[in-house]
Amino acid sequence: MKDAMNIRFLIREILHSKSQAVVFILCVALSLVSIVAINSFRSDVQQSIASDARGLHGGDIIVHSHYDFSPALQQEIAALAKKTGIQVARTWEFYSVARRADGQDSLFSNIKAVEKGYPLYGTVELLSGREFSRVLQPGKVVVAPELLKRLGLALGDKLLLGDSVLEIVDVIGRESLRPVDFFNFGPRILVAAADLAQMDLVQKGSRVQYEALLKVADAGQINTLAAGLQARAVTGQERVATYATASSRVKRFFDNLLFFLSLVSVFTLLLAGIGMQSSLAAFLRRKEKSFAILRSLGATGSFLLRHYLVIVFILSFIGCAVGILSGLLLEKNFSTLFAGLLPDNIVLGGSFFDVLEGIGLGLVVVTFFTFLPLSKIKNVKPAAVFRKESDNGRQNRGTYVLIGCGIILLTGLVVRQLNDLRIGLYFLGGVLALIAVISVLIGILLLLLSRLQIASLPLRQAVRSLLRPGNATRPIVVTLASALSVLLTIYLMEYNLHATYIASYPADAPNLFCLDIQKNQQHDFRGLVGQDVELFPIIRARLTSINGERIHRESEMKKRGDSLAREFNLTYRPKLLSDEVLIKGDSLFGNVREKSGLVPVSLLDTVAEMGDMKMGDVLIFNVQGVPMKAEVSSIRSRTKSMLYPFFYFVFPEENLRAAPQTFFGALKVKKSEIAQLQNTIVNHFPNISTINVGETAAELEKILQKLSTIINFFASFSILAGALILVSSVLATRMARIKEAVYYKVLGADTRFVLLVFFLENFILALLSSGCAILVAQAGSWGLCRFLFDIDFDPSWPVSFAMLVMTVCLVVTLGLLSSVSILGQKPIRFLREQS
Amino acid sequence: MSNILLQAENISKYYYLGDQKIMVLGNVSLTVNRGEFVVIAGSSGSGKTTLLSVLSGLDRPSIGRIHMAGRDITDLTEDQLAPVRNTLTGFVFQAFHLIPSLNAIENVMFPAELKKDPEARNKAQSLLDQVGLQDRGKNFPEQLSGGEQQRIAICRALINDPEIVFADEPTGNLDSENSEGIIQLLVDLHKDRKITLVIATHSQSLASRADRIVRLHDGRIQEG
Repeated sequence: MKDAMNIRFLIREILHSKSQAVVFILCVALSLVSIVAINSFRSDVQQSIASDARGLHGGDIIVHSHYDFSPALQQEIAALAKKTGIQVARTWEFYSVARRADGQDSLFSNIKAVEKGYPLYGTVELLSGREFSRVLQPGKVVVAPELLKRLGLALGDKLLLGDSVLEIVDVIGRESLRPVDFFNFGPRILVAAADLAQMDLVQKGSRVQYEALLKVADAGQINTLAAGLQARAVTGQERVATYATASSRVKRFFDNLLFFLSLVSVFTLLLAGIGMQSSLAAFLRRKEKSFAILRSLGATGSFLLRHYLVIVFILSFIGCAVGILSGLLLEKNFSTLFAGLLPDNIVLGGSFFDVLEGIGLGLVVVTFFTFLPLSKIKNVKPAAVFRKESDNGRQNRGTYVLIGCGIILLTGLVVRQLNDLRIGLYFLGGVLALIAVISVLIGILLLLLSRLQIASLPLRQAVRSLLRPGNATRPIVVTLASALSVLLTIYLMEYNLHATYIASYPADAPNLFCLDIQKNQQHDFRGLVGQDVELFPIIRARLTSINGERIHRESEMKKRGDSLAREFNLTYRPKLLSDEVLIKGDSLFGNVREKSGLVPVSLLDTVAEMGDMKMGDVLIFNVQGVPMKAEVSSIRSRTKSMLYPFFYFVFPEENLRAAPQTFFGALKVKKSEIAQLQNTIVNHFPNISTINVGETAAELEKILQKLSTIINFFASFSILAGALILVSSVLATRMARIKEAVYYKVLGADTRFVLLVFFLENFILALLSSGCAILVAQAGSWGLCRFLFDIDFDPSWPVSFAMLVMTVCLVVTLGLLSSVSILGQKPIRFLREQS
Repeated sequence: MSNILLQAENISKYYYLGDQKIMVLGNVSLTVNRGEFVVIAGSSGSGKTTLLSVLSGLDRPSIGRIHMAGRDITDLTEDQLAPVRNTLTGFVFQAFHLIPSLNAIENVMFPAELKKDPEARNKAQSLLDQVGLQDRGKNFPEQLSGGEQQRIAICRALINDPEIVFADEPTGNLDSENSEGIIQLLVDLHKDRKITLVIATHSQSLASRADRIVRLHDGRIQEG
């Protein structure tokens, strides 16, 4: 008995508490299912991007700029193009308006002019099956099917692009450089670079992405050649990367989405971990008497611990297997959930590494969450056979050390999962804070409940039952409330962002934006659309340093959200816009010029926060190659949040008047007249791009809805964790419930009374959980709206109420289902067992 | 009004253990008159507790009928039995069976509250006074000794002035001093309140004070 592993004992112990064992297995499985699915999905996305990196970028070396290449770089590229074994193809990508030849209709489109040989890697598949390089000749275009549909055109028809009339010769089936196309707000048009000059759409200040793709026969030369190009590139303006180092929008999008889904999955893992701990604790609580009997028969503490370690291992193994398999099965079906968002070359499916990773994760999670309940087994004394000893809750030093190790292990897991130490720590801190806040709230509410003088007998009994010794009321409510509060917060943020930016787009706000208006077109443009149109000058520039400290592109680009290393649109004007207020400084430009002789610049509060910039800070900008030193003269804030032009940096006119610039026009047009006005503008000014804001917002909303469905799907796993904890508690307190039900019946209570008590008990439990969740979610969402997004907050009470009702239904149903079987039975059976 | 309060007619009780039929009570007939103090005695396994539970309606006989206060309760459902248990009968158990989440006075007043008696608290307090537990009303069961818990259980059985009290080994979990106290309490209550008492017990001391002893052997009445 002391040394051998008693297999029969193991089996009996598991079978005797099979319901709790099942809940434990489900908790282990649930903790892994979403995280395994996400990790496996991440590796598939990375695989699809990495395996076709050359195809995704179109070359071995990619030179990129928002401006035409500098002469030195151009010379270097031209020199390389002449070398044997090196092939070069240049591209120009921009948005503009494509028109029907009859001028009847137009469409904001994504145009890419490409040189012969493009793409150097990857393919542009045409629906005709013909070879792209043979089809795309000067004077011809190939277009996305959507363009034909929306403009009512067919193959062979003419298309107006700028000043060119081009023939549509084929339709694009797939582009390896564009594996997903939901980022683009206009259908693709591929045009020969030879037509670029005739189109006349690439003008000074136009928003064009210039790229040169290089294919190098000798792969060993790639890095050397890239370094040589980088040496000639204008720092901060021209970027040289290889297919292995280049970033892509697709990768950034998935990095961000998967990061957020990882957050949600880790949250589910933590909640399921709590479920694991509470179900194991309940499982072991039922065994305390058996432990005491075994101890009194001579079994050592380590005999019990060893056997229970094996039991937990067996159950965890089953849970891990179920979790990993379900996770991989779920991931295999992501094509439905992520429909329209996935790269077209992705192959979904688990790998051996995914399974190994899942097992590793499972081991860490199970170890951390089962350690405390298991450690108590050794402490059960034989004397417990005679009396119920209460745990004094004190842990020895070794336990604290092990708890510390467990926390470090768990933190490591979270940081690894999120791949970001700072955010990992913030996240864990945030989750702990959320749980702490909810625990305190619940503690106060339960204390108040225990002190209430309740006249109604069923209600009093329900409250007393809720507070019965050994009841897991607190962990259930904390877990359910945490899960619900996160779900409700996600919903409320989504709702408020939608309400602010999309649904409540003000009736008097501009609904047609015009881009790339040239300086010399201002007068005629006003003549065409009306003199009262607001035109905003736009000068593109980069911020290079703050108070002498350089902006590091690499570290900035790693940040989630906006980056200080990106190109900014500067503007000049003498006064605040109608939706702006000064929050620092007396006037827009103050007396900086008189005091320091520097150029004054007014910052928007959001960019000031991004770079921790204050009044008096000295900023250096690179305005298309020309450095400009400026001092912060004021900080502005916006009074309304909406799709309306805003500028991070505003200068006095005299400092930027001479810089290369375009103008941005914001017009308010009757909805029915937008299309007609768009046609009129582009027919007069082919280089001007027009954006129908309402239509763009609707497109954006579609993507947001898709993303929110995905996030809600993963967040719902945390609700399952809460439900499992509830089931575990119901099972753990089943004996206590039966006991109470039997006593009520023996004393003369009927079924209605017993049911009413059980109903009220579960009802209060649900009210506490959802009430706390609503309180925390409403307060949290208000804070996020007010301080982070700076938008108005609408509490959307009907949704909170709906969540409350659904929680009540779920909790009451689960609670009652487990108790109903007791009602019809004769009390004597239970009384005999108790005696 | 008939003097017979409880009547068992040819009752048998058996269980199945797999294919094996286990007979616990065999063809038992018994009558208990109003105000009578009957002890069911017998060795362990003789069927005392089973007989008591069948007589009180906590269990159903396999064969035979049970009449209580002139009403056949044999086939009543649990809900139909609820008012019978609440007002007509009282129970005292060997393991006390107090509701752990309620304190002493709340345990006592519970049956009275079930029948919406506005005097529930006063009656409970008065009963606690009678059994010498006037200061223990706010204590929870786990804070009371075995003897105190059993006295609370007796108060609970009496609060609705039942016509008959069933007790199963009421002194079985108590030491001799506490046992004697409980026996005296039951005997006094029987005398003072003229309550009908049916007690299953091993206790000779308790049996000796009964009006009648029904002795069971292997599920059959040997004597009484």
